[in-house]
Amino acid sequence: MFDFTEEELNRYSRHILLQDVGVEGQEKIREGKVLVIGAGGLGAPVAMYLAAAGVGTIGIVDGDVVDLSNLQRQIIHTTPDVDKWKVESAKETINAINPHVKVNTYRDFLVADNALDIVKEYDFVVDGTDNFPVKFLINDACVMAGKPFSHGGILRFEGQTFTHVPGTACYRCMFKTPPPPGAVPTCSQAGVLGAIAGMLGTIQAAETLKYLTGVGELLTNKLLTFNAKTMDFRKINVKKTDRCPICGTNPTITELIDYEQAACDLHK
Amino acid sequence: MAKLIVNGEDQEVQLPATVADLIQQNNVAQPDMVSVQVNEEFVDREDFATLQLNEGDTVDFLYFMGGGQDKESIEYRFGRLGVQCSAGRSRGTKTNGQTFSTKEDSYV
Repeated sequence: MFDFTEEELNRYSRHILLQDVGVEGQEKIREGKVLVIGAGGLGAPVAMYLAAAGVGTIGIVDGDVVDLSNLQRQIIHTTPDVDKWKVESAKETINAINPHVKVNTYRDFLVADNALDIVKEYDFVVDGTDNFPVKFLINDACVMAGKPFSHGGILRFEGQTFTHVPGTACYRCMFKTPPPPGAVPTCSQAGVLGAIAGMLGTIQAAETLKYLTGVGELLTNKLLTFNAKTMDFRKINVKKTDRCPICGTNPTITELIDYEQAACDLHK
Repeated sequence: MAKLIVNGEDQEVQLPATVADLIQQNNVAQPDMVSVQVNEEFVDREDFATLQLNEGDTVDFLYFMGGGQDKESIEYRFGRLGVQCSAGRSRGTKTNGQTFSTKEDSYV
């Protein structure tokens, strides 16, 4: 019935053993197509865990090359990968972990012009980006295309994530509009403890796998925040709001927007 | 004094108080960036100064990306980093009579 090879049954045995997953669940994971936007701090653990899990198709979007300062947290890249295109480095790691995974690389940045075309091929989208304009773009594109996604953000010692499926709260329900450029620091300005990327990225990977298999409750209509200094985790209930400019009853946003990128960046 | 629940913790608040008052009392670092929920309903920014809070209200402050409590400016960080690069290399040595040491807040 399910055409898993001996090798795959062995490889995924720890999933198959789970009553909640089983061979049926593993098949759903194998049929899954997940888009990871950003092959950096968050995208790295997400892509690696999804590869390990056997997600059938993983798309990676990143227009950047690997920088030495990335290696502190972007564990999908290693020292010999410095100056390589991030998507190529990511693809190599993914296939080294799991040759069964089909990797689509998009050596580009997500913008209003390409967002809808890229996301439409996938079942689930993961935001692994580090700037607000693109986070809002991902939100808008996914809401417009009816795609579920995982939002994530980290800074210093904190992390924040939620999951959106059509009909539940979106990013603009919580934050109507992006902050002005430079108003809120990004990791390259304020720093981030490397392991925080792992903490949040693996939560995003878990949410993705839960979505694909249907197990458990997703972080929908919630905002999960944590502070690693105290290891306090908080889940805030959030409602989809009728007044939301994109998913509300009278949407004012009907087109994707390229907000002006933050000008401030340390190594530029 | 009324008891409200702010960010999941009990807080005594002098009423009458508006959302704007509570933001100020809680020393929210970037008050124009914060999103506020009262009893799990989002409050429009325009209403912060007029919405009155009541005994037993739950208030949540939502910050962009999980930060928001830090007052340090971006320019200060740039300046600090410029200094710390050289300080880091001469850690533990005396330079012009000063000893540099590693402190958690010396490194970004």
